[in-house]
Amino acid sequence: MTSRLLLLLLCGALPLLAQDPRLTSRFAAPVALRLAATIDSAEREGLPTEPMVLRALEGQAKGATPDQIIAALARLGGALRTARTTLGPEAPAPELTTAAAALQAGVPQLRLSELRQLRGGMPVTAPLGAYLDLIARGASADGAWNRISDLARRRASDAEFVRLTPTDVDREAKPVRPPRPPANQGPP
Amino acid sequence: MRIVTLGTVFSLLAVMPLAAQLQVETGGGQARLDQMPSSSLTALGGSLDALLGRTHFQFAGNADDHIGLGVAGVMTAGLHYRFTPAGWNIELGPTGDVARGIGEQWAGTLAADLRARRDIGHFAMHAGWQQGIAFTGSQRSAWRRPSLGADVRFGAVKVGASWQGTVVQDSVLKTTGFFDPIAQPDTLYRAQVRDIHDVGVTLGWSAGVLSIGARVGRRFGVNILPQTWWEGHAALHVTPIMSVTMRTGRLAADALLALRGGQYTTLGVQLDLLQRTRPTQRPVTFAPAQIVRESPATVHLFFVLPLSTRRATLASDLTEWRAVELTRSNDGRWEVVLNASAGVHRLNISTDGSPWRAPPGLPAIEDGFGANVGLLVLDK
Repeated sequence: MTSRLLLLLLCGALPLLAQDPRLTSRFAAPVALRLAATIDSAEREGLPTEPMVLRALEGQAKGATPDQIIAALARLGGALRTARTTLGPEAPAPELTTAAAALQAGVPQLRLSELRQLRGGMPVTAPLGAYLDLIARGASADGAWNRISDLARRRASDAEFVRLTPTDVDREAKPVRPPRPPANQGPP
Repeated sequence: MRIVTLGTVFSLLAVMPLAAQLQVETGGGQARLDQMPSSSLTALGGSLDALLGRTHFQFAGNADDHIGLGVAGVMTAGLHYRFTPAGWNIELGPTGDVARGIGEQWAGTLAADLRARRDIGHFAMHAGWQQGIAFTGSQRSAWRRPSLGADVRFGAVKVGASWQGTVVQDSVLKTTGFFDPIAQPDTLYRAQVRDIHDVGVTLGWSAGVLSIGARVGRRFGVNILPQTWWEGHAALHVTPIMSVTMRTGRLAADALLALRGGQYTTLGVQLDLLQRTRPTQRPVTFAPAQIVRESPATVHLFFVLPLSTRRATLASDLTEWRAVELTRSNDGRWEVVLNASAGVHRLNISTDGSPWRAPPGLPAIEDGFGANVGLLVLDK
């Protein structure tokens, strides 16, 4: 009876022993155990765990409560799941991570799915990164998406996405006004 | 003797639409001037560096009391017009000095000053030309001072090399026999040209609350005694406006202002009441964030932060959310080099102890913890 109890206790402690040392070094043992359970659950589903560990560390750095961190991990796990569903079970971890970040940044799942189809077997990391970058630099979300999807449709290389600038998006989005004859000059 | 460069910035400038730096510093220690006994030293000084539009004004002065020997002091001022053609930073204008060494007469200089600087990434080069006259008592001499230099930055370390030439044309008493008013009817004096070269190297390191710098060089030339000069300083930034400083060095004499060379060591306090970007190095236009992929394994980040920023830290996926210090680069931006792989990385910065926030110029999203986080997109 005692040996069974010890075995049960040992089995219960195994997840803690297998935890990422970054978690055990920065969180109290009970919190680290909860985080490990969440991350282990994601790992069993085949989701990448590195972004989850980093998200937990981010929460700790920002002084978040354990409940807030667990909730953030749950949301990230959901985004990773959605990304994998959209991109396919064979999508590599960097692609899933980028796609999850894009989803959490507000990119609609539909666009992710469209991008997957347009790119075929090519990775979506560069187009997604370029899309986020364009929006950050002031391009409109729709304009940026039109430019990205155009390039993806033409099977553009990663380098072509990287070279995109907001000016390229604006050039596409804004209709060019034809020059007016001198006699027609006046207020627009 | 120009012993200590001391600095402070007055808060009244905080409301003025200019980039400015005003510092004051006081300290004490030991000094030994050439041909004089060693003495205790107390020093007080200040500097103002201000840019209003294209007008650049600089002033610096310090007074050093060599206990038992006397007081020495020097003031320098310059007013330059600044323009920036094709990436160069060129300044042109008058500059002048007034000084008095221990046991010396008042001396001064007045000169036209042209200087140029170009920053190319981590590399910078500079050149200058001064042409003027010097007054020592009732005597005058003409002089010119060309200079060249370059420096390069490796992360928190900056190394540089420079050359400065000083050509002084003055007159001295003739020493060839008796004065013969028939054979030499014009004057008791003969022309003398001193051609002085100073070649030196500099090293600077700044990280977190500690800054260290040193320079060493050699003086040689015609009608000048060859000698080696060197200086070292360390500053511990205790608060955003106060630093504890230690300075030591062996300076060469000032040929224009008749100031003695000598050795010194001081410990002092520096107040920096208005810390803004140095006007001569102020970026004209920079993107709020610049991402430079220096190798597939590293990324060099530059951020434009408020001019009043004294300390900046970054935490990111790339640092496993441990805070790392950013350093202020020559052009006034804040920079850090991180190990990084391709992908989307989250990062935050904090300035002067403020809460974490998304860095300027990067896409920001809600971080899930009640604040924002920036996204760093690395495509390769």
